[in-house]
Amino acid sequence: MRRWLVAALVIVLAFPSAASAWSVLTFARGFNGVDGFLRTAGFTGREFVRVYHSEGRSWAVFYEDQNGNNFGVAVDNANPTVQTNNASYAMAWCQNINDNSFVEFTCQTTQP
Amino acid sequence: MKAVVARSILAAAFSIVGVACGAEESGSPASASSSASAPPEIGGPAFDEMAALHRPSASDDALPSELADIEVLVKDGSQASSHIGELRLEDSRVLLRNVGSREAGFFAVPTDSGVVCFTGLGVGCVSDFSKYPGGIHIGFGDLSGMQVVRGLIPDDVVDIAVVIDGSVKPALVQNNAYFYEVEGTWPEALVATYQNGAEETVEIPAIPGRS
Repeated sequence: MRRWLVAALVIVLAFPSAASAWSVLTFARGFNGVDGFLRTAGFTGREFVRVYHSEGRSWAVFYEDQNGNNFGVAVDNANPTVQTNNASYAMAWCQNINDNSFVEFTCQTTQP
Repeated sequence: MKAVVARSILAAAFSIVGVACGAEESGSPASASSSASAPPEIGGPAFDEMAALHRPSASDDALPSELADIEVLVKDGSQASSHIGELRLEDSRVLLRNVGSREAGFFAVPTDSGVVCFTGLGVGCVSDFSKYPGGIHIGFGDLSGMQVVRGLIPDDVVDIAVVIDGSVKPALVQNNAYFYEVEGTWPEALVATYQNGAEETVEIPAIPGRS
């Protein structure tokens, strides 16, 4: 057993990125709300921001820095709409552009 | 507490070992592409309407390791991502090669549910083109370091043009995909031409924070 623990420790230390976990945060969920903007409560490092939604309807996801500037904007009518670029310190946003489908949407990002 | 820490460490270790073992058993993307393979036995509306996914694989169809970000589609998505199914990375196909100022590639990856996901110029999934205005998937914005408009198209769409300030400019159209890199003004619409000669104009929504 001790040998396994030592082996596991060696692996974890050799691959620190694998050991550091980002958790997925659902920051908004609901229906409809065209032109609605939804955001996280605060700023932190982000790995991605995405929204699952009705296919064929357009959504935007992006980040906002501490100066109020938007960056990393991605707009898509595929499901999900995703921005895979990460952000060192940002608020994550999703925007319903024209989804009045009555299909539930789920906005998610990551936090350390 | 010690037991919890030990369990966590072991879980992390086994997960890493498991990934390594999985790669050995199923073959890496590079090895999967080293020889031509039969089209995958999957089906779904989007998959069935993309001829590019039904040709035998070639050496450059393998998903580059830097495009592993496609896994973000299903990472801890639970119920919200259940429609996607399991990504079949070994069945990826390159749709566009070396496009735009970043010379990016645009890849399609089918899933075992017949959904077609994409990566290289942003990521996402299309399951049924009939759900899209004009049957055209539209994605745009800051993707892979470029300001682009791009998407997947079914076999019956033969041409795509972008409308900018009232003038019509051709997009690159290949292998069930289109691409246009934006310089300055954002396009306001796409014009799709279909196999039967019909045309349809599809509006592009305004990008947040831009006019």
